[in-house]
Parts: sequence; structure tokens; C-alpha cells
Amino acid sequence: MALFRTDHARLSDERLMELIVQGDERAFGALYDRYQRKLMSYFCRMLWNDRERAQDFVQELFTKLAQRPQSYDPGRPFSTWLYSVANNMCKNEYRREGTRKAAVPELRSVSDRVEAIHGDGVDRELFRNRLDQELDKLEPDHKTTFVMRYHEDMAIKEIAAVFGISEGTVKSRLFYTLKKLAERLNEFDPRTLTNPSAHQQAQ
Amino acid sequence: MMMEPRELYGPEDIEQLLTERSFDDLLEEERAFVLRHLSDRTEYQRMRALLVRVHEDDRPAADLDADPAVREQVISAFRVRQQPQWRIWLNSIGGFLIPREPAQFWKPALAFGTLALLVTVGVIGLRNLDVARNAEMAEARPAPAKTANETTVTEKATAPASAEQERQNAAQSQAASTAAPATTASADLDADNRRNVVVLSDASVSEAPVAGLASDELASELKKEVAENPNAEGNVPFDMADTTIPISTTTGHTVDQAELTRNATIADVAVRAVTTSRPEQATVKSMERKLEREKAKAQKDDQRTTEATAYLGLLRAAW
Repeated sequence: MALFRTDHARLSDERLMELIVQGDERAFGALYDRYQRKLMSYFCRMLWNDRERAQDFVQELFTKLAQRPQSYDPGRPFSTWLYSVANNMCKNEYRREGTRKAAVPELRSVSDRVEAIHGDGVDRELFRNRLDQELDKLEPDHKTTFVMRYHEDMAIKEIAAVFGISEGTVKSRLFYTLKKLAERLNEFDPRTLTNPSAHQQAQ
Repeated sequence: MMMEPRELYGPEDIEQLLTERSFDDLLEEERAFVLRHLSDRTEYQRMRALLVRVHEDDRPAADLDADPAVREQVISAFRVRQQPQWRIWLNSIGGFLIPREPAQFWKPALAFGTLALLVTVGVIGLRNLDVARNAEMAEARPAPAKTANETTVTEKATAPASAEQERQNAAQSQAASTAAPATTASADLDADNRRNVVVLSDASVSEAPVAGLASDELASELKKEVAENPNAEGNVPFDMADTTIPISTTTGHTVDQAELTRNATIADVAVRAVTTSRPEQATVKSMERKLEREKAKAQKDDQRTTEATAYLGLLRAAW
């Protein structure tokens, strides 16, 4: 019997989704195993490195998938569809967080500082925190594009499919986001670290 | 036709150059392109440094795995989704009746206690209801043999009702057949009564046997009352043998004038015997007078027809 058992790990995402719609639990497990880490990473980046919250979001996303597998459009690549759902969840969270931040300002920046001090690899942690802070200041779509491209290593085409925009628009977004971040994170430029006068001059 | 020089790079394509080469490694053409979109070499180097640093910033993979509990939960959510709804319902019932924590057993206990209480109250209520019904039925049973006076009183009460019903039926039939406007009774009731007696004696009263117990009782009652008070108002002497009245139990038969008059007269006598209201008597009397008028008119018509026939005979003879 084992000879005829389907090796779900080898099946494509779309095929797994077909099996999930038919009620195949093992296919669902295989898809979860394939994407849970990527989504954890994505949610961590998008949700201020809050691991617990990222985990909650992963669970919520896969619960949605379990309850309504028919909502997946077979005409689209599964990863694109999954990330677009994740992106919408993040946008909603930004909206909620915006309301919360307005009520309790400085809360996040304090926690970030504490995390940076106690982390190992101070320079890396500092850079990570500063980058996250600057990313938070960007437009949500620009931030998402940046995270997808440079943290999730998604192709320009995939990102374009997630947002439903042209590839040129994605590239343009990336370019201006990079330019802006480079200006704001000038203190991490190796040349300025080795040559403080150059840093001051640049500032 | 000249070919225009085509831009090889858009600003968005700088990313690839940033990733792959430093500013010094760029070709002249690429450097010119970069400087069209960036201010200087420093900006290019800064952007390149950022990009490299971002690529290097990989978090430990172990940290980014979700807890195994998350997997269990989403898988169980998937299982629940795949189960038929009735099974989910049964599971929820089972979960309610047999909770996992002993501290939660008060819920099913309370539910069962409430259910038992409701059932008990319901059963007791039904029993009480049955007892009440039985009591009512016992009251409805016919009473044992009555005394003579009680019987008379009861029959007095029932007889006028049947007589009145007969009178109403007769009045309706008559009104439908003649379609004449009803006249109001204004004449002297004593005179009416005298006339009724005449009608009663003249009418060919049917010798048919009495139909129904009520007519028997009515006749005996009338007889008794007349015998007791022969001179009372409305009680006129007449042969009680003639009061054997055929009372129809059906409502669909045709009533002729004689029967109507007889019924009305007897009813009038019966009503008087139990002292019914005068307006009803007046209505009956007026109808009787109307019938008499019609009868007289018919006799006149017969006379005229006879006279006309005589005249015609004379005319024929003359011719």
C-alpha cells in the first residue's frame, strides 16, 4: 500500500490545494510545513519582530485556509495568493496598531531599545532595529515590497502578482525605498564608521 | 528613418548594479546611467552598503519556526472543517455532557436537574388537568329523576324555544315567498287572539301523529295550563284533540299557508302560556292578518273570474 501513497512533499502547491479542497489532511500538513517558516519570517519582519504575534498570524492564516480552501483561486500561483492574504492581514494590523500607537506613544520604541541592548551582536541588532524603525515609517506597500524582495527573496514578478501591479512599478518602488533608507541609515555606512568626519560631512 | 538610441536601464534597474558591482567596477555607460538618477558616487556606495547589509541580515532559522502546537491547531481546524455538521453537533453535545475538567460537571448536572424538574412539573400538571376534566364530566351527567314540578318548569323553559324556532322558520319562509314588506303590529292583541282562535278552529288541522317529544310535552303543557286557567287572557277553550301538531324536524320542506297559520297560532298560544314578549306576538299576528288579507283577495279574484266567465258566456250567446 505504501507504494501507492502520494508523496505530498513533491507535489506542487496548486496540486496540494486541489487535494486540500477534497479534504486531504496530509496535503494540508505538507503545505503548512512548506510555508510556515517563510510566513513566520514575513510576519516577523512586517510586525515589528514580534514573534508571538507572527505565530498568531501564521495560525490565523492557515486556519482561514483550512476553513475556506475554496477561496483560493486556482488560476493564480498559490504563493502569490498566500502572500496577498498575508499582506492584507498585515495592513489590517497596521491600522489597528496605528490606533494603539496613537493611544500609547513611545511604547514600541522603548521596547525596541531594550531588545537592542540585551541582544547579542549589538551592531547587527542595532542595524536591525533601526531598519525596522525606518521601514515602519514608510508606506505599508513600500515596506511590504521591500520585505518581500530583500527578506523573503521573492521575484519581482511574484511581488507584482501579489499587489496586482506591473513589474516596473515594483522596481520603481524598490529603488526609491532603497534610496530613502540609505539616507536615513547613513550611520551604518562602513565608510562613515571608519571615517567619522566623512559621516559628519555627509550629515 | 533613424533608430533612436534606446535607454537600456530604467531607474529601477539600478538594483541589479548595486547588488553586483561597486561604483568603480561600473562601465562608463553604466556609470553615466547611475549618475543620471543618483546625485553622486557616495549615494551609490551608501545604497550598495545598505543592500549588502540587508542581505547579510539573516535571522536564525530555528527562531522562525512556529511552535508545533500551531501545527496541531491548524490541522485540528482542518479536521473539524472536514467533519459533517451533525458530527460536530454531536461532539459539542458530548463535550457539554462530559467535560474534561471535573470542575465543569456542574453544567450538565444543572441541565439534567432542570430537565427533571420540568418533566416532573409537566406530569403533575397533566394529572391535575385530567382530574379537573373528570370532575367537569361528572357534573355534566344527567341528573336523577326529577319531581313533577321540576319537570314542568324545565319543559316550560324548553317548549317556548322550540315553538319560537318554528315560528321563525315559518316567518322566514313566508317572507321569502311573498317578498312583501313586513307590516308592524299595532292592532289590539286581544282581537288578534280571538281571530287566531277562529283560524285555528276553521283550519284543517292535520291529524298526523306528533313528531318529536317536544311537541308532546308542549301539548300536554298547554292542555294542563288551559285546564287550570280556562278564563285567563289568551287561554281560549279549544279541543285539545286538535292540537296534535306535526312539528317538522327538518328545515327544508315547503310550508303552506294552512300549516304556517296553524304553527303561528299554536306558537302564539304556547308563547302566551310562558309569558313571552308582546312584540314577537304582534309580529306573528301581523303576518296572520296579512295571510288572511291575501286569502280574501284570492276569493275576490275567484269571484271576478267567475263573473268574467259569465259575461263571456253572455257575449258568446249574443254573438
